[in-house]
Amino acid sequence: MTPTLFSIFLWSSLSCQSDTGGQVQIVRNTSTEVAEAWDTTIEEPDSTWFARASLDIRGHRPSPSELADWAADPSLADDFLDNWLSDPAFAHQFAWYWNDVFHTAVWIGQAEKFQRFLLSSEEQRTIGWEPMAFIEQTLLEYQPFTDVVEGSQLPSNPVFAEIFGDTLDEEGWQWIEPTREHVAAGVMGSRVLWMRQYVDFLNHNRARANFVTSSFLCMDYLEREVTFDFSEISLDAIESAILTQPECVACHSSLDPLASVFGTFQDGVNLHLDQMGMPSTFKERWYAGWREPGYFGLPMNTMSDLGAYIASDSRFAQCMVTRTWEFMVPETSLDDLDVFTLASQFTESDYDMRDLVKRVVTSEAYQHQSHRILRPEQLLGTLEWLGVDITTAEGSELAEILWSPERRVMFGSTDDVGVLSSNASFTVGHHVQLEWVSSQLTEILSQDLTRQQERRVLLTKVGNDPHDESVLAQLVHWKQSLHSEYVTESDESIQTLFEIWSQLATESELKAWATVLAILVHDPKMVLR
Amino acid sequence: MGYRVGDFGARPKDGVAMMVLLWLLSCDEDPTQLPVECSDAITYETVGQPFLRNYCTGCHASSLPVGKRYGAPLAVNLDTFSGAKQYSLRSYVRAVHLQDMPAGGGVSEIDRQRFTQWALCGAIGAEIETPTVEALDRVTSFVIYSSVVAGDSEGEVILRRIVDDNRAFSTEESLLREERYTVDEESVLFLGYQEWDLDGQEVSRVSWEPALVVVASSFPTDQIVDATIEMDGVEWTEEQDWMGIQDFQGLWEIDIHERDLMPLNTQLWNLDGEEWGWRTSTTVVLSSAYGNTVSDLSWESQQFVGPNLLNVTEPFPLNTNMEWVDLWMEER
Repeated sequence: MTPTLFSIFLWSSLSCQSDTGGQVQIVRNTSTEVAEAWDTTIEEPDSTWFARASLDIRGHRPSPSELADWAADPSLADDFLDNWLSDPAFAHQFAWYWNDVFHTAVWIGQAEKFQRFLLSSEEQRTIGWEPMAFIEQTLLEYQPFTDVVEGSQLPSNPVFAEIFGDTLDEEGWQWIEPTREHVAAGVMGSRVLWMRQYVDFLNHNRARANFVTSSFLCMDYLEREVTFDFSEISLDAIESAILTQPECVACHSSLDPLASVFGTFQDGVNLHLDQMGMPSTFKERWYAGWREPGYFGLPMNTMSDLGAYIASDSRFAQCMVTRTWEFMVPETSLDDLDVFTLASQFTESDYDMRDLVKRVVTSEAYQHQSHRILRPEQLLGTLEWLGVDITTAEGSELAEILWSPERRVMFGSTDDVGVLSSNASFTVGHHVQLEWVSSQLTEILSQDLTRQQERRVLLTKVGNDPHDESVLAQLVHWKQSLHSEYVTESDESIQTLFEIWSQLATESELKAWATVLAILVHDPKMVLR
Repeated sequence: MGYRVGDFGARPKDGVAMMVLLWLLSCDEDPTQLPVECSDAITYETVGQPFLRNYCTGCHASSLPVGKRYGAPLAVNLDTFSGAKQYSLRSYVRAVHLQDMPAGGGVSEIDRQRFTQWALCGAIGAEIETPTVEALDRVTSFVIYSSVVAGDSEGEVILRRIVDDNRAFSTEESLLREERYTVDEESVLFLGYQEWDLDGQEVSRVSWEPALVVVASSFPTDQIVDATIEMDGVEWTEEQDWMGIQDFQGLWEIDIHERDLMPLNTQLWNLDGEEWGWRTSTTVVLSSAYGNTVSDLSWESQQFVGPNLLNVTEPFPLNTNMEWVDLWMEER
């Protein structure tokens, strides 16, 4: 027995002999466990951390100029983090993380009930993005993250406004003041989310309630290990059991009153699109007779009340810490004492998500985690550094990396319908898809070779008559952009690529460029962070 | 300085289990004397309230009346810090030591360990600011008495309805309404309606040309009719589009309610008489039913049917000499 265990044994033996005089005696052990404070200082950050942090915060790798600055002075880590967190790209990338929760981004194109609306791809993407726009706009406007559940504004953009009848002041996603009755409860007032989290005729919005508790309180009723001694299978018997059987009441006593506030949402598929996710006063009338709304025993009337309760619930701060950690350090779970510490700091910062993210990415656990596969938006963001507007270049289909459900799954991500969790492994699917990426880039290269240098998409460093210096500069640019390695023309990897290019260029310049680019694209460094 | 996960060394996940074992070896008396690792990080905010909300306050909350506590004692409320602290040891004994609360189980091991630490280390913490929400009164407020009688001509029936529309049981704004239909084996047509207040003063009169098709073997998908409306002494005609009413009327419904005893059953049939679905209300006062029709139009209803209609399965409500009462539950 170790001295520590022996002392505990001795102590516990003594303590149970103490005379409590019939009163409850609270015994506190002298030993304590203390969660270390989390600061944002990072020691010895390496280039892997530099690239990973850039990808996780902004959705793309460091630029070649940032790589050069970093190589010159790694002590600038804190400055880089602050700059990246203030970049609008942070809000966008963080919104993409939340698609892992909402699962709406590419869902609408696969849902049969929307086919009758004949929506264009742009309209589908816009509608699918709306729930994430709540996250993005909250961060862009530097609002407390509690506004995600209790904010009163709605996001809209010109495409969305055309469908939903909004009036906008400017281009792009923006907050608008609601012009008709809607729910002021952050993203719970989304006009899209409840189309995705569809009401179940037999489940009476319980699924929606559980979606909210699991999303924002990290409390999933379906994960509870409850033992049922219940052989009846008729719905009549089940509904009766919910009111009487203890093993049912344990969850339904709080779940069902939560579900009541979702009864106002329309769900008929024959409705116009702009009505499908909106509250219905007609439903509110009858739903109040089903079960009085309540928040874990507290009185509640509306979803706005629900949002206010969630925002003030200590589980919300803990859940946001847990989710943020899982977004960025998915393979290492966070000890609950550390969750408490970070949640406290998150609350004290007035729910500043940038502050929380900075604490996460400067942790040693983040720095020392194993390599991870790039998410689709990060992969596309990486490719976008490669040239100028390559996703919108003529003939380019690279945006499918992000928006095609099939390609997303092949890249190990989700399709928002059938595949709802990512595959962290490098698979044959990546090889197949990287071959497709190479073919896409080759097509762009072939067009580049017919253009003047200033109009080129990928071959931005070379002219119509490439010389050695410009070829080397192009190779360095690609290598730095795709692998986040600070290399120079004299680096061995660049010299090797140059030799290959030189040999093939005598046969075909297109073949030379396509081959060296394919080599870089097929390198595992391309998809790992 | 950054932070490394796992730097804490021995954590209570293992340590508590070992200490429980040691404790059981050393004595088997008061379970509240279990030695625990205490931490200032284990507070009402971090552990106590989350645990109690997850597992307890659905029944043990001070605002819940007797009928909604599922047997929880009225005095045992865990929705405030003071209540949670007062009952912290009892909560620990029931949820962790005896594990008979919550009754269905489902408490995770790590939650039990943390709650043990909180309860046995003095249940430290403070009241947490929580929004103050006053529950709205929810009253039975909308009453319709309906009866069906024969009309003046062959095949015409009149649906008489007394509609209390003031969201309370007052009669001040109640209306008497007569809806005129023609019914035969093939179809039901809605001709129009008149409304009077309870002093016999006409409030409105509406008729459609052609009549609205409510039920038909061949139903028009889009009914555009001229509605002649008379209200407050003014008459006008407007064009109305009545898409989808066939779907709305496409289900027959019988609601069965045993007041104050058991939930209400709602049975639904389609127009071919095939059973389409059913639902049991979870309230003991009123029925409530909703869903999508066979063509997915939203549909909802709340109804109380008199005892003479229990188990009636024929088409409803347009048989003569039938009467029933609709009750609607609404927010005041």
